[in-house]
This record gives sequence, structure tokens and C-alpha cells, in this order.
Amino acid sequence: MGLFSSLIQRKFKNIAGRRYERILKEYKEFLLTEEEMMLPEIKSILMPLDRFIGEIPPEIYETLSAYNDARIILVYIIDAHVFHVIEQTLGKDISEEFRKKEENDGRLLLEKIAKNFEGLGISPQIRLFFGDKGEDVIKLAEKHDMLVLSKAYGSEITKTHPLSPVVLKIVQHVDIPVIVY
Amino acid sequence: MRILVLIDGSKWSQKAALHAIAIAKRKNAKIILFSVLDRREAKAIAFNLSMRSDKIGEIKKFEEQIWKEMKKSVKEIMGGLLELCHEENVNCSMKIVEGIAKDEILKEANSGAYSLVVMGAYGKSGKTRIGSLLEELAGIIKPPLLIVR
Repeated sequence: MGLFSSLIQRKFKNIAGRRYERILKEYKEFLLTEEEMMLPEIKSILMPLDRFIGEIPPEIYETLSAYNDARIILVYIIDAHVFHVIEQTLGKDISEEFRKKEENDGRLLLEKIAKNFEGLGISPQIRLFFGDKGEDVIKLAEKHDMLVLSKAYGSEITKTHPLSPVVLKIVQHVDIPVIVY
Repeated sequence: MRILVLIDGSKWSQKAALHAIAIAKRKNAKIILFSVLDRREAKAIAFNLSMRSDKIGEIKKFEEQIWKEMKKSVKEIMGGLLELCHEENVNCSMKIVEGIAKDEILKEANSGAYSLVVMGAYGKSGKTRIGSLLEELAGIIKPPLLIVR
């Protein structure tokens, strides 16, 4: 990183002299430090899936294959809130039917996407559970280095609303890099 | 594989470039560093500066100076990143255009030439809030968009 770091040094370190450390601390949001000038290492990737996402574009597989030594976790979250609303309004039998169908659909989708990754020599882990599609992804993201989300995750999208509000909320709250496709 | 990296001069866009380089190294991909210079930005800074300093008569001169600095600064940052790509054996080039950021970025990103677009989550104003440009672009950029923090 020779020239790049010397650019920073020339611009700030030499000019600021002794004040460099203080300036660095105060203006951390604006100044790329030498420690940050490292090529990032991605060891764990979280990829939430659901019924809205549609087909995963080949560019995603192409990009993620660059991280072939990373752990990829495919997760399908069944909306617990919707389940409870169905249970309270339509009764236990219908909600049970919903649960079974969602679990089945979720598992099939996870297995299908996992197979596509296996074709690239990547063996993803799969998880399916009841929860909140937004909040749970934000919580789970803390344990991963990268998040991969469809624009339609958590909600249908239209021409006038091309990004799901669930995705926007997640992107605003997580601290890791996110790929939106 | 071709990767478009949006450079606005902020720390976050430089971090975005680092992510792109890491991917490009493994995929033997080509990186295009892309920046849009908006003359209106120079106009706004010149206006605010001259209004506050009782030098409104020199507003045009200020604007020209700021415009030159904007160009110089982005070229310097991109030059550093090009050098870094070279050190990492990554094929990389740069493209600077003048216009409105959102329009020019969409034109380039959706041209069909890229498999991935990479940008910083925040702009030059720092972490005050997630970049408004990002919110506008995330839904309408066609290739996958990697948002870096």
C-alpha cells in the first residue's frame, strides 16, 4: 500500500505534524487511517432468503465465488407476526397449515439455492426459523462479515417502490458490508 | 468480470475500492474507478464562502478555484487507488465525468458493462446519516450493489 499510504501521510501527517494523532481521532469519519488501508477479509457471509426474492442473478454467484473460503449461511425466516395474526383471526388449524406450507417452501428454496452454490464448490449452511425478517437479520449480521440481500427481501417491490422497506431498514442498521441485488 | 467503484473522495468510497480490489484479485476482474464532478457543488461552496467573507465580488474566482481543486483532489485519490491496484496486480482504470451524480452513475452502472457496483455507505459528510444518494440508487442500480462501511 506504499503510494496510497504516502498520499495520506503527505496530506495529513506531514502538514499536521504533532497534531496528527489528535486530528486522526477527531476526524476519524473522514480520514482513512493506515490500519484501515488493508484489503478486507470476509470469513462469514449471511444470505437471508424468502418467497419474495425471485431468482438469484448469476452475478451474485460470480461475486460470492470470490469468497470461496468463507462460510455462507442461507437463512429463511418465517414471519412470526404474520403467523400470530393468522392464528388469532383464522384459528389454529389454518395457522398450522400456514406454518407447514412456509416451512416446506422455505426448505425447498434453501435447498435449491444451496445446490446452486454447491455447483461452485461452496457448501453453504442452511437455517430456517420463526422471527422478524428485519430485526433478526440485523441481530444475526453482528456475527458475520458480509450480508447479501435481494431488493425484494421481506416485501414485494414495484417500479415505484424498487427497494423493500425491510431491506432499507437493514442497510441503515447493520455495520457490515451489504450486497443488494 | 468488470467492477464499477463509485469514488466521491470520501473515506468510505476509498474503503469501497479496497473491497473491490479484494474481489478483483481473486476473480481476475477489471476495476473501473468512476467519479462524477458536479459544477453546482463548486458554485454552492463559492457562494457560501463569499457571502460569509464579504467577498461576493470574487465569487466567480472562488468558484473556478474550487472547481480546479475538486478535479485535482479526485484525480489524486484515484491516482493513489490506481497505484494500489497496480501493486496488487489488479487491472484498473479510471473515468471522471461532469454532471449530476445520480444521473451519471445510473447511466454508467446500468450500461450492461458491469457485474458489480461498489460504493461507500456514507458520503463526504461522514457518518451523520446513511448517504441519501445510496438510498436513491440502491433500488434502481441493475447490477448487484456492494455497500461498504
